[in-house]
Amino acid sequence: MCLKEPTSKPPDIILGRRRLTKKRLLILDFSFVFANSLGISEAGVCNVPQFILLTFPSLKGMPRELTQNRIQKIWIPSKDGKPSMPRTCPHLANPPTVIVMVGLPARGKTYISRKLTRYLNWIGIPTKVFNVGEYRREAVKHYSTYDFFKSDNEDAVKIRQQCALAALRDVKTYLTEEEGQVAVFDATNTTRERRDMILEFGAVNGFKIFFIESVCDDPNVIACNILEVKVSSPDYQDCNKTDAMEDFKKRIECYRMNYQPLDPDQYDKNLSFIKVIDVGRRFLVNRIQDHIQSRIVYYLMNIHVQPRSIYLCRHGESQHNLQGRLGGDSGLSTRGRKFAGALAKFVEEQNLKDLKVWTSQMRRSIQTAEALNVPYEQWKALNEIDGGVCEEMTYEEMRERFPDEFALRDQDKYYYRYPSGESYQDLVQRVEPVIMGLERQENVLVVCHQAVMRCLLAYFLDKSADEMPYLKCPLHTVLKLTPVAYGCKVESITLNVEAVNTHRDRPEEVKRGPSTLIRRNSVTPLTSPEPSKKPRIEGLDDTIIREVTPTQLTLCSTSHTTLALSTQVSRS
Amino acid sequence: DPESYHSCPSYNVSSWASYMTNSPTMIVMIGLPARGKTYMSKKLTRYLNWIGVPTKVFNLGVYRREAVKAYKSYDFFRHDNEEAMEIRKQCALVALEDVKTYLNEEGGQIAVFDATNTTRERRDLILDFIQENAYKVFFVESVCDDPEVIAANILDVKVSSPDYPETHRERVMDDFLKRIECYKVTYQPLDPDEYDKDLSFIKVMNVGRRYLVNRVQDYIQSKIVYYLMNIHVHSHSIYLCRHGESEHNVQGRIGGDSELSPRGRQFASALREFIEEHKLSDLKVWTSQLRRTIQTAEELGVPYEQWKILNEIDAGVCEEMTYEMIQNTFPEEFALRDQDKYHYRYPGGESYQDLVQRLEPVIMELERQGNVLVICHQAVMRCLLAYFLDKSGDDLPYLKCPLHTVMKLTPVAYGCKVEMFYLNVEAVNTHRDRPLVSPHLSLWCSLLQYEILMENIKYSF
Repeated sequence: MCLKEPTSKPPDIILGRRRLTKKRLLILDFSFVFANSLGISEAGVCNVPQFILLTFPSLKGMPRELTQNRIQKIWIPSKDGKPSMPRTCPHLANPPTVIVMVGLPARGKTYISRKLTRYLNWIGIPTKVFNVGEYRREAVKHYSTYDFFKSDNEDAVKIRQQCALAALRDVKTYLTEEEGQVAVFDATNTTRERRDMILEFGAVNGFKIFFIESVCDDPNVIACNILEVKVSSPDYQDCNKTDAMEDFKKRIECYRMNYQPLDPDQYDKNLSFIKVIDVGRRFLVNRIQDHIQSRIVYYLMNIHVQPRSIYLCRHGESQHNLQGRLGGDSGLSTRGRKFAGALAKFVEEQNLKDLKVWTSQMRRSIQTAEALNVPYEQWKALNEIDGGVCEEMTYEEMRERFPDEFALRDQDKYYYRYPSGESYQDLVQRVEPVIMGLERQENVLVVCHQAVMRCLLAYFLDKSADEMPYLKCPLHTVLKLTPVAYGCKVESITLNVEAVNTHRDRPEEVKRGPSTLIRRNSVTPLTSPEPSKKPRIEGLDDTIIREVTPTQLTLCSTSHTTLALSTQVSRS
Repeated sequence: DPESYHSCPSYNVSSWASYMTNSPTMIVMIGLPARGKTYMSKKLTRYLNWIGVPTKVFNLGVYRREAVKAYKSYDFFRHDNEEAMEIRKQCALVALEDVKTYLNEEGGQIAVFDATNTTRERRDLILDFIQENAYKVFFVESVCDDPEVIAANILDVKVSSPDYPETHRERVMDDFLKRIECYKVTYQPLDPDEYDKDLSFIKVMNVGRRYLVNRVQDYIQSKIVYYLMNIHVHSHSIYLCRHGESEHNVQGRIGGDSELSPRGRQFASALREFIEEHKLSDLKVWTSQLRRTIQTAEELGVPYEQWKILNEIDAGVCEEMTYEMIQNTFPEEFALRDQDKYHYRYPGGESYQDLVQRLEPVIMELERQGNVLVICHQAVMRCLLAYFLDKSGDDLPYLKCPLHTVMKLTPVAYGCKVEMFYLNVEAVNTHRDRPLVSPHLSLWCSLLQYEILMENIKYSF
């Protein structure tokens, strides 16, 4: 036993040393520690060392047995033979959160709502947007002019109020019955009255409320926004752009009259919110309550709206690809090297200013990037999915040696974790920092791997967990992603170098099976193909609706069509 | 000499965080005295070093104290004390020279300039310096008008400042408040609307109740902002321990997913007693997704959460081998690991450096939470501990984290108090000491470990 009194003065960095040195501080070598928790004074320091051996008998009897979930490889305790499902990831998003957008029209509220929802769904937090505008369009089929948004148009005000209430009812259903965690309430919410009503709604139902206010006074930004998304809105279907622009600007003025921005100093000082000022130039963040809110703030601070493109591709064909083997760290095949050359030519042709190139830390992606003759960054987070015990096997070998595993993977490919390896779900967690990095960057080429590329692609194209593991990412093909309006345009460029096909289709027998993976649903209820679609305007007074759709004002005659949310264009 | 308590390996070339900073960044603190500037500087520096961005604090107070050995009273800080003003400016210039040396010659990526910097004149001087050297600059201003918070900070930190050796508390408080008044006269806060609207900065208001963030330029700045938003000052303790002794531990095998040994189960019971005895209210329990930590947590009879990112370091091809088997099967790998344990990556597995990156979200969440017990693994616990105790990548893989021992970490002022509780259940020793390369290094190593004990570790009996 070696006991030492502290002899030298501890450095300044440690505060509280004063308190410590007053008492008797005992220091001894780690390997000789014998201590017990008896005799510990309040401060956790004991004056007289004691060496009492304590035994701690189990008071609870037998602990629960652990059995491993075969798909996710998670240890689950079972009581009396019945498994009790543990939380598999930190339970951080509880209770449910309502994100309430605030801002004048054309401030990018819908853009933020959709993008944020896509992100939250992708990281595994079920989130859905509730766009009050769509409720309004469903209630009032024919939009005529900005008159509808005048604050003295009492009937219209009533309709809008009822639309908001209908949307809130759906928010409640989503969060309490449909296992939603976050609902994004996308409306102007520019008055205190409206926000107080929402706060009340949150308090009654036990939801947390987080406000996102978008403030922007740059006329150019607003005009751009109107041109990009508003004039093509169903409200202005058969209307020329100039008229639509004019009408929309008047609509904004209607809101401006009653706009009460969030007041951080007095009225709203106790609320949790972020003010996004001038498209991310500045942020005011007030009273973040929890993990999910801090993730949201971090995400909003990283996204930007500069035009750019993201290029995704896999490494060139590898030796293992040729042999049909999974994973490993093999070099490129002859055709793979040819692809690297073709990629270099392609990059040159695109003539991109400041293109960043990112690779994984695996030989095949680095060899591919080397051919480009530009600087590149290696990310371990971009490495291919870890196949665990199945690494470097062919599908046949895997089927032979682990027939059960092979079948389990087909059953639920997103959640399936290779023994001692990873699942697609794990992969999403791993590549999240890459997504954050990509959001900050301008033009980037990511040279990665099949499963990783599927994860990244699922984020940009808002694909569900069910679809993700079956997205087609062939070798020797570059996907060019360009953000447009609320979505992402995809161009697929095949570089004309032959390669093996590494894609395994979803097996027929599970194709039609009931999907348990409705994890991602980032579209608004109106446009989502939900079987449980309910009438959204129940309780709305039909007579009022008829009254406020006059025929004399036909600046824009519209016929109602479902809003196409996916703006993906596929050109291959 | 400014405080420099981090040694970063100079061969840290492929640090994952290096892509985030293409040009060196200077973080400039702003605020009246006792606004927590030094707290934030030190904490941020500790975090940045831990994630692999070489960072150093340059505290102007330290330079000033060196220039003017004996502090008398707040008179020194009056803005009309011309002689003192000149001294303080000279100190700032010397500190900036040191910043330059650190960023240009010593491989530093970020320098934190910890001073009041309350005047535009001073900030413009810094901006000129930045431009001259092509650095990036990010301002962190701490604004606080809650008198209680300020008084608490003065009592907590300033009373023990070297400026006030052995004086009465009341007198110190009085002098310090007057010192603050001296700065108030000339204080020009950052003006987001006009004068400073093009600068990159964060204003932290009333200890993190509100933040104003302006023009974040790059990834590292956004990470800094994220971190500052997650740290909080309410008192909490973090309890770290490993799982109970496992069957693999008994056999001397690394990794794997084996069950607890009988002694391991005994530890799990002891851990429950420990929690009950300490009456830890609202304790959150986190485990990895490996069986041995879950079995340990199961015994506690409280809810717990499994994190995959808390899993033990992936030893790749060496999983489930004994050290002897590794030495025989992969002698070269074994030697390489001893050469540079922090950067060494097992074939098909992970390095400590990889692990730090993987654990970053855990740290961020630990900073947010109240009392948490983390039941993890040796390598994982070393990484977490290195963050809290500000250990370099070189020391990290050799931190001693014995089985059946709980470490209680309580943040105090600028550091972290460590208490160790050995729960009296015997276990095998899984620690492999740093190989002794030379007698010189050997001495250094033992001194180092001794220093760890001296600084941070308090034992209870």
